Amino acid sequence: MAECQRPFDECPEDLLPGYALGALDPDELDLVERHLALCARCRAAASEVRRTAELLAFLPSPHLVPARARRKLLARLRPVPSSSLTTWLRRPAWVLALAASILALLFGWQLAERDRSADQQAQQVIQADSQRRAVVQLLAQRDGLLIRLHGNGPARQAHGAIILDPSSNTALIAVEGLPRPATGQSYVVWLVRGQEYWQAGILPVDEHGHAELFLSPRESLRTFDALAITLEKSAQVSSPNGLPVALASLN
Amino acid sequence: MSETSDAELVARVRSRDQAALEVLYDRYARSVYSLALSILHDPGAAEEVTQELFLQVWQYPHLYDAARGPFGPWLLRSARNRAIDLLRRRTRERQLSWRLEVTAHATSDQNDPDDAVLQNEAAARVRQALAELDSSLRQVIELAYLGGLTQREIAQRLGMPLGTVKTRVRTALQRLAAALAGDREPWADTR
Ligand SMILES: [Zn+2]
Repeated sequence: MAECQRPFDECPEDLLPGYALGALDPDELDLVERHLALCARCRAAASEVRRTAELLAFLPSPHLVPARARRKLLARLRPVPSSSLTTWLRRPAWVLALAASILALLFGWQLAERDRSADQQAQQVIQADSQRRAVVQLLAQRDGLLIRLHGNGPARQAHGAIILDPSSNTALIAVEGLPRPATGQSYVVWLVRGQEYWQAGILPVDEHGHAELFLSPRESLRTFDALAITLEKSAQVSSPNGLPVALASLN
Repeated sequence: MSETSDAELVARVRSRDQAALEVLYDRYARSVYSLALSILHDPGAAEEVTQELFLQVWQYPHLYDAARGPFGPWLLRSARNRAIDLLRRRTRERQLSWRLEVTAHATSDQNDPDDAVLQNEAAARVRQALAELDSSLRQVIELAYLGGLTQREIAQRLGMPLGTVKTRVRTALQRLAAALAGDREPWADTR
């Protein structure tokens, strides 16, 4: 390892191999990243050791990929006629506004707003729309905040994404391939912190198995560990009892 | 198109050329799958990681930024991240003791080692160099790279000082770099 020639008092060079390997604890990672932002010498050393660490991808002995994986992938490349995440993001603004107004009615905490004036409702729709656009913009500009969502159990075919926008504390969940719940059942979205669960909304599924939900929780999204979706017998549940169908880590 | 560089193929994927994605798949799927399999020890999950990764390349090709380095390392880094995420998610799910049906995909025995010839000789040399590491060095590398453990977690698990783990990680990477000095890197041409 190249010696850091003391442009700073403490070059964390003993952490660089672990950094290249992705094996640092969060506090160490934070320290290294702060340092790398300032120290060109360590940046060079880090990129050198990273080039070596990248070769570890060949550590496993090679296995043939089952041929069905290629077939399945190609089948999934066919353009989805409508409502896939990407086409959803390309919808014109008025469609977004309409969708926002429909979704707004599905938010438990927004039902309480029903008695307000039409003006205020319209205001809410505009607000929701601008939040959505902020998220869409965010997706277009940065990639780190897109979290893939995979289905489990009865929703094994489901997949989608969560787009997080920490600056406005909003999130958009978009899922496709969800089986429609039986009458009386609902997909409930939960925010998970440690062992605690907060109900974040009901995920409405259309006849094509597409579902979208816009979240704007009171508490900071950063403070939650995970987002979970369960299939519940009733929408009025305070803790998850039903079958978990998807779980995504928010860290 | 099999002689086309990765960078050119990614550019074609951006302009919705499915054949270009297929070439990238044929070039990298085996490495991606093998890596995911070593991390997850579950062929069904490794297959899923592979599919999802290439689907992401198709749907969001702009996520790869050529200015930040060649495609191969980026792709395999993403593969590892996905597999490690899934590994941790599974651990978390077990901790939450949720009734998740773990996908018990039939593990057909099509992974016959005889078929598993890595076409890329440079990659084979990398594996050879790794195989020649002392087992104590290899162990920490495997726990970190394939097990997704941090150095501190490795120290706890092996009951050794953190400093020893750090030294072993550093030594292992140095030996690997030395063994491969002057070798062409195993990534496909990315000019
Ligand atoms: Zn430094």
